[in-house]
Amino acid sequence: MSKSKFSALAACLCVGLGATAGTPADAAPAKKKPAARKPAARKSAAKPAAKPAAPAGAQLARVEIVPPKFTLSGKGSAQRYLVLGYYANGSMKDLTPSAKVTKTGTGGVRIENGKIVAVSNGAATVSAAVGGKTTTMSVTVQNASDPSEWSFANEIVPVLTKAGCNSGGCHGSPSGRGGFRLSLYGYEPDYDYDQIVKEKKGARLNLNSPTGSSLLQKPTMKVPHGGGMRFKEGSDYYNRMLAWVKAGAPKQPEFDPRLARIEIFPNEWTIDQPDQEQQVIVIAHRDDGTSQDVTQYARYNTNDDAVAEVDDDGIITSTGKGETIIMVRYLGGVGVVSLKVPRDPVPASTYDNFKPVNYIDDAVLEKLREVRVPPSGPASDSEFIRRAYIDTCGLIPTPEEVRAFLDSKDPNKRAKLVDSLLNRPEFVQYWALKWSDLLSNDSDVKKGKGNQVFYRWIKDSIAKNKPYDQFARELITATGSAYRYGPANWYNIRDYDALQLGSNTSQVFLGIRMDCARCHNHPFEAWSQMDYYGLAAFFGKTKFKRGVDEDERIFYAAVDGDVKHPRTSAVVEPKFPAGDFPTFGPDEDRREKLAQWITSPSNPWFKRSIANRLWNNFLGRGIVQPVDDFRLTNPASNQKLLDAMAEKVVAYKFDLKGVMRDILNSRTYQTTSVHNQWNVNDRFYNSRAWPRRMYAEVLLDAICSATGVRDFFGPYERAVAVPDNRLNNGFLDLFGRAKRDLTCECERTEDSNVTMVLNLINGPTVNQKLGSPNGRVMQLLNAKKTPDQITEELYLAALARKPTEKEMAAALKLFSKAPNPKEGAEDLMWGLLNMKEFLLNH
Amino acid sequence: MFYKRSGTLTALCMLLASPALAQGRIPDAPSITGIVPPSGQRGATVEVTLSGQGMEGTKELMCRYSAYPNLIPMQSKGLKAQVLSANDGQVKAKITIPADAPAGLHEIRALSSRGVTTPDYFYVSQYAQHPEKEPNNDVSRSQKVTLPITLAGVVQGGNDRDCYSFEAKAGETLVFDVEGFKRFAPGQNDQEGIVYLDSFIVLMDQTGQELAYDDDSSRVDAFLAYTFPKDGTYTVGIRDSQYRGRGDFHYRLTIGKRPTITAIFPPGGQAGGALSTTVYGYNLDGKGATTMRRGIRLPSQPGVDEFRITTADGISNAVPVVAGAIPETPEKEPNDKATSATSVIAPVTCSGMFDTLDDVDGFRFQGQARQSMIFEVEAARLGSPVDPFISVVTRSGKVIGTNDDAVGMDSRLEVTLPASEEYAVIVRNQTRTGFGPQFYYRLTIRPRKQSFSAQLQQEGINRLGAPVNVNVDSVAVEQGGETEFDLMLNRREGQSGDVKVILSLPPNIKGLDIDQVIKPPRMGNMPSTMPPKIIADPVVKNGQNRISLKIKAPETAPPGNYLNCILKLEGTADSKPFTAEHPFWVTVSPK
Repeated sequence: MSKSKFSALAACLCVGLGATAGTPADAAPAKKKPAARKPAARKSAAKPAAKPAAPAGAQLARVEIVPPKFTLSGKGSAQRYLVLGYYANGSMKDLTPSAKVTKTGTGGVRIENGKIVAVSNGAATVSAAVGGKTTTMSVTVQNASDPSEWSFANEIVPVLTKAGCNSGGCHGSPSGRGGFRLSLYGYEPDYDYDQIVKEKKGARLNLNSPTGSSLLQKPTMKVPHGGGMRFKEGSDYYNRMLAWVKAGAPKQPEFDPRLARIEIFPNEWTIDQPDQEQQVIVIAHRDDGTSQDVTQYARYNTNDDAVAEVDDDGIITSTGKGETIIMVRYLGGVGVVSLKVPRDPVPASTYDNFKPVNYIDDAVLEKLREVRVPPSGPASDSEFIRRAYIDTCGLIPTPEEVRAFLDSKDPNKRAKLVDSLLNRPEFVQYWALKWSDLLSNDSDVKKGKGNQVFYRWIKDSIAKNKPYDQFARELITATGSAYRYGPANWYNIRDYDALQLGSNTSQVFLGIRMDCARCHNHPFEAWSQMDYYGLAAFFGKTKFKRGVDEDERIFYAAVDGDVKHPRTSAVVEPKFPAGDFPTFGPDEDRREKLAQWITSPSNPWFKRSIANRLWNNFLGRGIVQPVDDFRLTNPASNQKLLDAMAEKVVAYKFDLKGVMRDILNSRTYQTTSVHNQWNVNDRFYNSRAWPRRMYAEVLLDAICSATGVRDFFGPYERAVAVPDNRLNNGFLDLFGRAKRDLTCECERTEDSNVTMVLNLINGPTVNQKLGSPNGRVMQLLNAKKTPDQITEELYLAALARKPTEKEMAAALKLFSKAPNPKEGAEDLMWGLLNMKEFLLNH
Repeated sequence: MFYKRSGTLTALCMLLASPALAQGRIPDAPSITGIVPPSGQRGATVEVTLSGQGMEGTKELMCRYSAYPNLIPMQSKGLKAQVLSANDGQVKAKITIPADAPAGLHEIRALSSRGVTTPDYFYVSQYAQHPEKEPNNDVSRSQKVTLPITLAGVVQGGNDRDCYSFEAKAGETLVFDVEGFKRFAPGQNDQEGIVYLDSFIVLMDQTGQELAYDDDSSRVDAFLAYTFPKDGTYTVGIRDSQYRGRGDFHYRLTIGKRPTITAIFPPGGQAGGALSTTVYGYNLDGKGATTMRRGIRLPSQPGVDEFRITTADGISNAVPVVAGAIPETPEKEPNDKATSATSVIAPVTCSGMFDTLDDVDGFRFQGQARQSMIFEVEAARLGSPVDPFISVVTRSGKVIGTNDDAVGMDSRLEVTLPASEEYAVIVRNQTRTGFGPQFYYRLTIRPRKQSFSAQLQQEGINRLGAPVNVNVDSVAVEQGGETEFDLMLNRREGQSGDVKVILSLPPNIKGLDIDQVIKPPRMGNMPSTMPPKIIADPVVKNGQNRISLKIKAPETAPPGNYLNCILKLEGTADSKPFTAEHPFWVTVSPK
């Protein structure tokens, strides 16, 4: 499954909440591997792996048995183990099948089918020997003769989840299925218990004849079941459910331990060749200090099935070269296994052309070496000036600017250009546009003056180079009239509610999409409903009243206003995501503490999120992509790079121009978009610049700049400088300007379609400008320029470069065949404006 | 360095333009909808054309002024008008402006044979007025002007911006003050489709680089004070903040070293006393002072007065100074908590200001069990940008009352105290939009005091055309005819009992009379066919707040506008006789 498919799955899981028909893919247990790939010998960890042999030529450096230390508690409790071999070339192999495992010590355990099973209380040491290396693990056994108490939440709910019973397409949907409703993924075990045991007067269970319970008969298809067979009679799942019913379907001990975290072995897997297997072990750690092997009940997904697949038992099979992660979920816990299968070795000299300039290049080069993708060469001056103008100021350079830059012999001319771009008024306009998009400055919502006032504040903040943390704080704590105080418009949203404000704040400033947790704990991250509603609770007391004008809203921190849990109606106290419950003074605006927490230099999300957004602007793709979807299961393509930039954001005291300057001056940014034999498809590691379509506004301004003819933007200078996203302009709509419905950069797309192409080829935007009496073509003709001079000028204006000899010859031929120089020049310009080289930022 | 007047006038104007006042209009009532030219300089005589309806027979214009019409009654400030011609839709007149007339918007009404018109506004400037000269859209084409000056211009359309360039000296603080023409006409503004200039000014250097800007420091009007770092030519541009424009988007932009008051603190004291106050603003003396101490002798009767200062560069804007009816005590910081609250003895008025964004002010007083107390904050209505929120708490911290907005954005709370003990009143600025001397308020703690007043209304329409009661200050009646209107009795603080309504006329008109009209109840949506009951001596009965009246004029009543008519209200307040007078205008129109 590709990453994009994975994102789609993430969306489906939430959409699936409302599904009423069909069985979505996630309703079924994790998919089975293709038969052809599945090694016959490896059905579970109990059986030896198909390819235990050491990698050819690599020397075994050490072995490790995992988990290194654990406690078995209760009669019959067991823990899988793995013996992992680490080789000198950095790769790792699962050596469990070939290892000789023995035990010593007072504690009674037995080794059985790849598991350590509790026999009697005490401590034991388990040793593994393979390839001349040995390793040990410590085992403690306690309560070996005590039958464990049933816990519905910890032992039955995982079965229901693993079997897909409580998925969004089945009984976990909001309306349930077949009159039976469970909480989605079992996030509310109390509710599920009542549904199973008490609903319909307990008709789902037959305590007198447990095997006759519909809870067991339906999933085994003893009686018709719309969801099909979920597990077989006699399977582990069946046996566990049956035993629970036989025990009288108890709920849980008085103080039922809850999942604190899950631990995964191994959590990194680097191999030198694909087509290998690795069993994963998942241990649930509970808040009472106990732990349990839950490998069998965890769910597994791969992020990229071209690199690795994973089956229902947690066995990963590598299928190709590259990097991916395997996502592991158990109850509310989420973890990943990072898998790396480096590409074929490349000559060391292929990296010689990449001379690191700063910390960005160090991190990028390290990654490129690691994944064996050699970088392209440096960008030409023409490539650089055009790209830097577009990415920094949202405009293309004029012929005069290009000529001066190309002719300059100053060795520091690129750095000087960067400095000048960062101080141009167009820089302010471009970033005001970007922030207006992100902050959802929609004139249909920020009615009347709101749109203008908000835009002014954003623009002023950028013009003053306001530190980003201050910018964020002013937004988060804004009060007052949205007609008078710009940041108050951050609160002026459609369908105002605290939950949406919490979501928006999280997405924009932390890069976390927490919406899934509105209805259930986040399926792909450790965000719980408590995190979601706890964040919203900071905004519960933020209210508004009408101002003088009909659409004027005045926002303020009221003394009352609570956020309640939608099911329990309990008041939710403000809570930092994955953090504490702060306390407040009697008159304190709750948002003050939230703003402090969010913008703190120690908050990892805030600094990483903005570093990622900046990277996305200049390199065309976030290190984490989508840029506002930071989660464990969506890892950074280069974590060191992200961390290094995040720390620089703090070191620069949130002066974003500092990081922008570093990016622009880096060798990484100044790499050509021309690929080499190794990096044709590299969009992740920045081994080359990736061409991308210009924003709608930037493209329109570029057409205006190249043709020398202004479009009509009302009182505004250019498309990028228009505050109002609804200013009537068909071109901007067609090329996908942001609707500003969402606080998401995803509103802009890089897609292209036939209508766009036809517009550029035959539409009024280009053609009217080409023939304009005030345009560049006419000015050149009026100045009596020769065809070769005109050709050079038009190339500089559109492409920021001079024509090649071949291009010049073709252009002159065009002029000679044209009925007159005007038509020749217009045709040439038309051709240039329809080139990919013009339309793309490359 | 630049400054904004963050709201001395703002909140006041918000109050003036509040929806409560924008009730609608009476379609056929005499009214003025435009004055051309809409301004003139002190000492000048200006020939103006009023457009509107129902203005036939106008022989006189009523010219009045108040810097704070909601606080200080309108009164004549010496503007004289000579009517040159009049018909139904147009009046031409010559207005003579005395040399000492206050600068600002003066109310103009026509006294026509059909009644007293609704007002429109005429701006009087203290500096010479010059018209704008188009094209002046950008710095390169800006209109060169000499200071001080008042520029008379129009923002014609969405792309129109008017630029004026001038010389400024290093260290000099110049004031840029825009006066629009619609902000005192809330009734019109609330009508669908009626928009007004929402001015936006930008100050630029010679290259067009922006130095400062302002949008709304004076409500929809812009205001800026800027201290220039060096000698040079500068440009100020004015446009509509939403890029709109129209032929009647008039403005008057004053530029100069005009003294400007942003706040005084304390903003008032007990009537008859001497108030020692600090004045904050710009160019408060010839050297550009921004603060100064001033003593003010307060009038002996409670009320609100205007306060201005004069320097060699002119006369400042006006700010309100309040003469209160009860003793006054300023707040004493720190008083952020109930335990550290400023101790006061009720009844009392406390002046306070918010020193920090998070400042909260507390006041302690000894209350008596079962005593009905009033807690009222005056802020927005005095021009302060504070949006007050008050809470009253017991000594144990129990909240016994809170209020946010009761009078516009000002708070008012009536609480019956549960026990004889110490209470604390906590005042905070709910929107936390700023702090400093401009963020002031007056808190009054006093026992309940009964009274009543009246408001006259007639049926009109709102901006959607639906029937609505519209406040009126005049009634027109034809010779031999009669006109109905309603009297709304505003009973305050628990006042009850019957209130008699008596018409009192000036000596130059006789024979007019009022009756009470009691209409039979409606039958569903159908009016009753029963005739109304007429009572010769109108009374607002206990429990009532509204009665219908009709004024009758005999055939012999001389036509004219009678401006000294009074409705006397006689009742009781706090078990004692209480009388209130409601002045109104009556026009007797010829048959």
